[in-house]
Amino acid sequence: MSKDKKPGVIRRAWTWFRTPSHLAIGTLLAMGFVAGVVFWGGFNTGMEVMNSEKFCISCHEMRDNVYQEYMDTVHYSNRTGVRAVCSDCHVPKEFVPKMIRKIKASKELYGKAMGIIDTPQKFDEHRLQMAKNEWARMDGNNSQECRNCHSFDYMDFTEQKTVAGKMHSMAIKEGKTCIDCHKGIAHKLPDMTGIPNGF
Amino acid sequence: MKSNVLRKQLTLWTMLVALVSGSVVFAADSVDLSQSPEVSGTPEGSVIMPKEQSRMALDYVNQPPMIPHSVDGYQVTTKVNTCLKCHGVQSYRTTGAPRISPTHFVDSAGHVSSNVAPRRYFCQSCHVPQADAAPIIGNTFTPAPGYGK
Repeated sequence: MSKDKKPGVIRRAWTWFRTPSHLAIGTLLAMGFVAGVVFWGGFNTGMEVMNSEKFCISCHEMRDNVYQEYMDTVHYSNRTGVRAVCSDCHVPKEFVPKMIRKIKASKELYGKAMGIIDTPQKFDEHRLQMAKNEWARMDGNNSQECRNCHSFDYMDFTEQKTVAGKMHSMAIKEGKTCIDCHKGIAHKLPDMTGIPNGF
Repeated sequence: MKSNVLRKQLTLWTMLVALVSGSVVFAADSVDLSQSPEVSGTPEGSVIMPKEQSRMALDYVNQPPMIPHSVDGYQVTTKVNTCLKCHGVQSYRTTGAPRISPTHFVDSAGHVSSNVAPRRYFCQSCHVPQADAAPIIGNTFTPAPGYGK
């Protein structure tokens, strides 16, 4: 009797996986295609939801701190209504960097869950460190998130303030990246003593 | 009792008349107050602040120069001073911005430091962006001789 014992879950799954189906190969392929579309579409929709402002605020410690500061800036509200939400600046658009960022961002959730940054005072104490992390990331990817909208290639320096035009052409010459000079664009800056101003 | 009510009514009406006539006289002043954002309740953003413009003339000796550009989003807190990024001693040669005045390094006791004195640190207490705005209160001020041109 012991020989008829039901095999384990893994073995049964493996057997099921290996056993040829009665279905035609075309049907199987078609089903696979549809399943693939549904899965990939679902995945991307899920990703989009996860990158919405509301979703960010629901878990990250931001509603009373950085989100309030962001609401006063031009990236939240302006005359043309073109906006940049949290993820536009803080989450890369490319797939692999996006996934890496998502995983790294879980550290921030830990910070929230353990109450390390749960009051504006505590948040301010960690502001410099958090800002440094973000500056380093932007330095590393050549401020890609800024450049998704703002590009040196299409800047008309004659339309800019004279100083801005001058500094931007200097930045191109010296191979600078946006975050070198433009820190604290949407947020309050931390204590900047000893942080070079970028030019 | 009755006279009390009457007196109350009378006072109320007198006050109302005084208020209305007062405001009429006030409005008839030569200054066009409707231009002033404080009075007309102009929605924020409709007064045109400069992106960049030429510098307005000073009106008296030691007047703090006004800011000929927009300061939207500039942060001046105890921890950071965005103005000094360009106007500071370390960077004014690169940016071509006017250098912060040496007087700003002298504290109230007359001591000179290499850091900006606390009482001179918050730039916009004295330096304000130039704007084409009507005066809030009428005045007879005329620029000092040689100034205002």
